Amino acid sequence: MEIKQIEKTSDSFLSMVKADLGLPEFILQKLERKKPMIVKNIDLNPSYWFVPLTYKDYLVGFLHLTLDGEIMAYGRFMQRDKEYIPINYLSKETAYAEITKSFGEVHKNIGCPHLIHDGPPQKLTWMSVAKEDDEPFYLFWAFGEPYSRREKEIDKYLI
Amino acid sequence: MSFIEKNKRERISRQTFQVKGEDAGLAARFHLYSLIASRAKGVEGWEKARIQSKPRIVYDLSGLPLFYDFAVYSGRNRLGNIRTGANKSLGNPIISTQTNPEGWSIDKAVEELNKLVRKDYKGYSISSKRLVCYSYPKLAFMVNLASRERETKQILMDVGDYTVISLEPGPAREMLGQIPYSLLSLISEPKERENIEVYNKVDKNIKEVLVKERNLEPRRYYELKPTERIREIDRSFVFISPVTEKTLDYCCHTGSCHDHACFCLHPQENSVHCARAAAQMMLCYWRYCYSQHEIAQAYGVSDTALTPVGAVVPGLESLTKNCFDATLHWTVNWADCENEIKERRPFMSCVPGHARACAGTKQWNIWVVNTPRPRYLNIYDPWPPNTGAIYWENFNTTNYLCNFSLVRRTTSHI
Repeated sequence: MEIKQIEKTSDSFLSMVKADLGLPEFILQKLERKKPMIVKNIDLNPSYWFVPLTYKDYLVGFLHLTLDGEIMAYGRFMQRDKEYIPINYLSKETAYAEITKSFGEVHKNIGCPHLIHDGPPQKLTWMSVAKEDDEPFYLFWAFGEPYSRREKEIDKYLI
Repeated sequence: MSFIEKNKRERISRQTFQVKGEDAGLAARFHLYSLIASRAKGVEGWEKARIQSKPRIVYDLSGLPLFYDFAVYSGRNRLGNIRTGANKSLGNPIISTQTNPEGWSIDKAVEELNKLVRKDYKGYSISSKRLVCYSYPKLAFMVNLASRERETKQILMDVGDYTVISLEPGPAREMLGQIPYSLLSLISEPKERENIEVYNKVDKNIKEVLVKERNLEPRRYYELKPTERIREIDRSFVFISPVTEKTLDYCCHTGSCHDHACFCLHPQENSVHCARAAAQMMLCYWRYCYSQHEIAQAYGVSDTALTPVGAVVPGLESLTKNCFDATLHWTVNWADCENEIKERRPFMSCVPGHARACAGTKQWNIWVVNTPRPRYLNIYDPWPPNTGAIYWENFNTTNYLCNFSLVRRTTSHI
């Protein structure tokens, strides 16, 4: 589905469920729906649409839509109203800087970060691939939390 | 020629099956108000409309009344039609709503019928005629003709294209086209019993609402301006909630007890703590306070390792000092999720490779026909680490791995 249609679907769905996002009234009044972003799977194939909902410079909520435009989830980040994610956490530049800061001393040739889901669609994160002895090494930055591993995927029975 | 078995006809022609015109009128009015309240597509402007008080009766080929058709007018413009059942064996009182003017005219059909009789049935005149539904939803005139010599004939003429329909009953399963059959004859006896119950239940609810809402009585309602009508309808129809929602809470959130969350989000402290954070949320709800490190120890894993699914049940039970039964459910179905929340118990909802806590369910009561009913779980997701998220997750589109329930053990006091 085209991004324009995703925007249209998001706006119409949001008008129905805005109050269910669990955000306070002062935020809902100034809530903005930003441009939808494609979230890829770990193989970097498009998987679903992430629609950011922002308030001032903060990422406060989201909609997840399938590539066909079906609603997968909608809600908010955090529970308390004073702790929100800075909006620049959605920027590739910030993600690259953070990944380099966390892993740059150990890993060279860090690749461009991609917004992916690490396993299930719910685990949204940035991922870069670095080379270690010609083998890929996976570097993640999950909105403030860096982590890394050698394996591409993890066993689905490990939670 | 008969379109229905004698016994069946006798049974469904009894008074218990007949719908009075007055009750059909109430159902049609209730339906009009519901349509206006729903702001449904195609009924824009129907708040200006008026339902014709005298319906047109459509008969079944069994000879019994089948439908009441209530025309919906705005001034002189016919906006559409609300069709209600005339026999309770049809079930729900509302059969259909047409949101555009009819594509045929009864006057034109009568004119064509007269032409047909003059041309093809010389010496005969029309002794009676009825509007019948001969092959749902097709309508025809069932006409009895009589000659001066007192000979009689019966003909069936479609009111849409004026074709004469053969009066040979069609086989029950070959109902496409213009083959006549009785719609009532197709309803099985168990279905009749089921449908009459449905009818009576809906009819009772309609009457309960309309008795209370005096401003929706036609005399008062039609005197209101369209905007006032919408206001009255919206006020009266608040009880029809578009969603059924249940979330976990401990208290009524009133007075000084309003600014808190009964169920608390605990974000995971690192990238592998999801099963610990989800357990922490469930245990916190039951007032067991453990750190994610302590829960990892109970699972028998280090702080930097993921938790095997099999470690959760013994871990949870040991953390509750065996006061709770933890159970792993490999089959995740909606009824079980709903039941846990109804019983005021959070549960752990796992997708492949990730664990979250669930503290609520919600399902839509209005949805598009032929699509799955929208159902959502209220997920407290410990991801992203140190942030977490609370969201409604589409149950129909999510691939679940398993659930873990946590149920308090009952203690024998004997």
